[in-house]
Amino acid sequence: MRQITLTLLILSALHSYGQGVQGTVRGRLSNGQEETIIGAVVFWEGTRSGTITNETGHYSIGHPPGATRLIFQSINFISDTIAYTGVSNIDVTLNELVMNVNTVNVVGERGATYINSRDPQQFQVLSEKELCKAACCNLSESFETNASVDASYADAITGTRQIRMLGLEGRYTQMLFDNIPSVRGLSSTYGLSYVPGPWVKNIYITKGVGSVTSGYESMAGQINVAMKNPDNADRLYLNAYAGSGGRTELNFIVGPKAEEEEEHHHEEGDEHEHEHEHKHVKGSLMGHGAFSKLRTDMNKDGFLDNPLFSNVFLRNEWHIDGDGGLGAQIALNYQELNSIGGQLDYDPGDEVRSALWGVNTHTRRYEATAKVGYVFADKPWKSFGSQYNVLYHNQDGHYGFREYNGEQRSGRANLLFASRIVNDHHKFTTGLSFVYDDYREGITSTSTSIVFNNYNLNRQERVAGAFLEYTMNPSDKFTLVAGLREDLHNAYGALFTPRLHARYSITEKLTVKCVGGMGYRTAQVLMDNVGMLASNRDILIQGDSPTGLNGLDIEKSSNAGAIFTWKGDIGYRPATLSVDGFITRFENQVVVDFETPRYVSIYNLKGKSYSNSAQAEFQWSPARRLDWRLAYRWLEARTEYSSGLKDRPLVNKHRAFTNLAYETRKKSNGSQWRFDATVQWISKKRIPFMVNNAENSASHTHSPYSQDYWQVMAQVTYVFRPNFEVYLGGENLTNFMVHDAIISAENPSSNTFDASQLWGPVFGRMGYLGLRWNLQ
Amino acid sequence: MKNILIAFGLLFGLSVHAQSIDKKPITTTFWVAGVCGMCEQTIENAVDVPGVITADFVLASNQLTITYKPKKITEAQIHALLNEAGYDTEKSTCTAEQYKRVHGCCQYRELEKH
Repeated sequence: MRQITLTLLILSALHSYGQGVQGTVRGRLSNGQEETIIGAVVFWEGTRSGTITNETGHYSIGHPPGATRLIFQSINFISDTIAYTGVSNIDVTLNELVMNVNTVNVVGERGATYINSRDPQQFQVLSEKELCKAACCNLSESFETNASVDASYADAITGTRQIRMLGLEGRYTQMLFDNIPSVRGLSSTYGLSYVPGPWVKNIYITKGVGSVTSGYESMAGQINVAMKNPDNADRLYLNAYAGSGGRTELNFIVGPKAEEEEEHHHEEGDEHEHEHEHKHVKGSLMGHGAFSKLRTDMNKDGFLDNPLFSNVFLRNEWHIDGDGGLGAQIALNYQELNSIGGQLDYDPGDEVRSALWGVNTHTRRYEATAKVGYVFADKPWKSFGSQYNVLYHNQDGHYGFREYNGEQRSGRANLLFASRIVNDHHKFTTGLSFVYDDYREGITSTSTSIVFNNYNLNRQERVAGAFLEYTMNPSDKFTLVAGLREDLHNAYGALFTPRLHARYSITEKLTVKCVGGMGYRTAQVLMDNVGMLASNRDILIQGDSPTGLNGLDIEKSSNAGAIFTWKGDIGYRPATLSVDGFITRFENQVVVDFETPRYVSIYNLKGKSYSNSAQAEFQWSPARRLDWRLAYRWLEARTEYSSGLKDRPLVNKHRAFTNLAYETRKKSNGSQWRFDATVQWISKKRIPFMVNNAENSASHTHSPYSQDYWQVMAQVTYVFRPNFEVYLGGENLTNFMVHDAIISAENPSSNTFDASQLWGPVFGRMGYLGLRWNLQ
Repeated sequence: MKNILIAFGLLFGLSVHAQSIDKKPITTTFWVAGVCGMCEQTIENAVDVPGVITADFVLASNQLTITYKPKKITEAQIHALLNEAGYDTEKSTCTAEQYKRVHGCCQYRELEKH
């Protein structure tokens, strides 16, 4: 027996010689630190034979006959190719892609959403898995299972989805796509609607102010959407979706083939080979088409619940890994949105029906972004990065008796240099930025019976800035990030932005993070409040600042907060509890005042405006493949209007939800069932008085508070094979609807007509069916 | 009488003691073969059965840490499940037939031990 074992051992040892390769994959970060890479992909060029590195960065792979080169890839790192010479141990160190200076990418078999207690700035990470839980036609719908972000409709007609963080409208949350600020200016309200769910790899949420390196704009928070890109996209991915509301949708992603680069490999010496190995060009194309042609009126108010629409989005991205630490990423985006809402029979193409009250909008958007980075080969902690984007946005819309036309031309450049002081405990990122925005906007009345103000809000913004962010990381227990930026604005002068983030591990399981800082933003009064156009309220812009654009000051706020996170075990199973509190104070704000019926007044803040919020979230996996989440958030958001200090309208003080997710054990062919259900409670919201009681009958008056309501959504997914799944789900299963969302719905040509104050869903129970498939 | 009481008490105490041991989950760590992330998934999936509370396989050290309820499953049964999936453990080796179930790229017996 012993002999046999020995023979076996020798045999296997002999056999393994030249048969397998193993080693460790490390990553060299731009700050010079090295760490092992978990989940790096290691595969033989031109084959399907591959593996993934484990928790310690180790991999082991068999050698298929004929395979000559081993490729190492990992998100955020520059890929490497090593020629196989029969050596059985290959350790590799990949250089970090510099453009991701401020992101920590942790992707793996984690929960669908997890709290990041390591990064001092980031709060939460939503993975692709979380995004699959909702019907998720676009991102704003994926926050129904997130306590930090509230999602709601802007009004009862346009179907615009809007998010809120810390009780403040989505415009106070900075949106980044792959670390580059996007959906700014005219599109800030639509924000997340421009991102189809299936395109998204991860979403990183920062509560409170973000990093100074991406500008002064994050006031309540920052959401960074990491899109699927040529490095992680499937070769071919398809997603189809149909909902009972009439919405049909198709998404596709075409990624690079495993063997994209051209094979010009000659045996002309090592230098040539080395050069060749680092030249990679990879591309991906993502497409999204969504259509709805079905007219529905479930709440029976004579108006379409959801607008009819047709949207086409395309994104083409290229990654170029050049020689010696040089890399570039280029993305081209095209978006086209057409939407029709309003009275049930409204039809802009019909002579008679076009006279009904309706909304008909067309948006075209072209955006190109580029990132170019360079890592110094001999000083890997030192890197240079640059980000550029150019944008053209054109939107025109017919809103009842008003015509809107808006154009935005923007350009932005951000140059970053990262290095360290003495050693890796002290790092810094510094740089310069330049932002150019040219807005041409106008709104004109077409009414003969109602008097509306017309506005032309043409303006130009040129902002040059410099920033410095210092990171101190003396031990694993403590991290401090201190940032400063100074910007020079052509209209608002010098803007100083200090920000501070700190993380301290009190014990192995308990972490505290503190954040504080200031933020600024220029208000885009018409498009920020597009919901007000779903009414016959007259717009009164009452700017009284002699220097500001249209008499309006730049919005300025300071924000501070603390987050406690406990990660441990309950009954041997992993659990997380996170408790946080945030306060935001506005020094200047452009107040949008709906408190006077028939008017929307827009003016500079003359008193207090603040928001305080607290949140507790508990996640626990009581058994394998079973996840439970319970969350509650409280907030108080108040603003001083000309009529006094009041709760911000349509903001719920309390929100609580619980989510339960279960999946069956994976069978050997990869098939499994997945179940997901969410129950949500939304407390009452304050509604501004709609019509002057003296002038109109009592039936026109809303109570000052809405009722609270419950919502239930559920989804069942069946995975046939790892690359093919079908899902069936339902939203708003309690069938809760707001029936009197529109004031004077029976008479839209009266000046009291108002659909801008929506506090709940207008569309009832909705079912949907979808499938996801990818080419393996 | 006193004796009976003592005996009863002892019995009761013992049985309570025995019960509390029986009910308490056991955490143990042992060696399991395996060479890659795919093996890791297969191994963790193989012990995804009633009675097993957590299972975490660390590829670098080839150590599987497992917490299970002794009333529902025994350690021997856990080893058998791993063998059934094609993986050797420090206490039992799988049969040639069981080994065939291991995916082509994960044939650990042919690969260099690390």
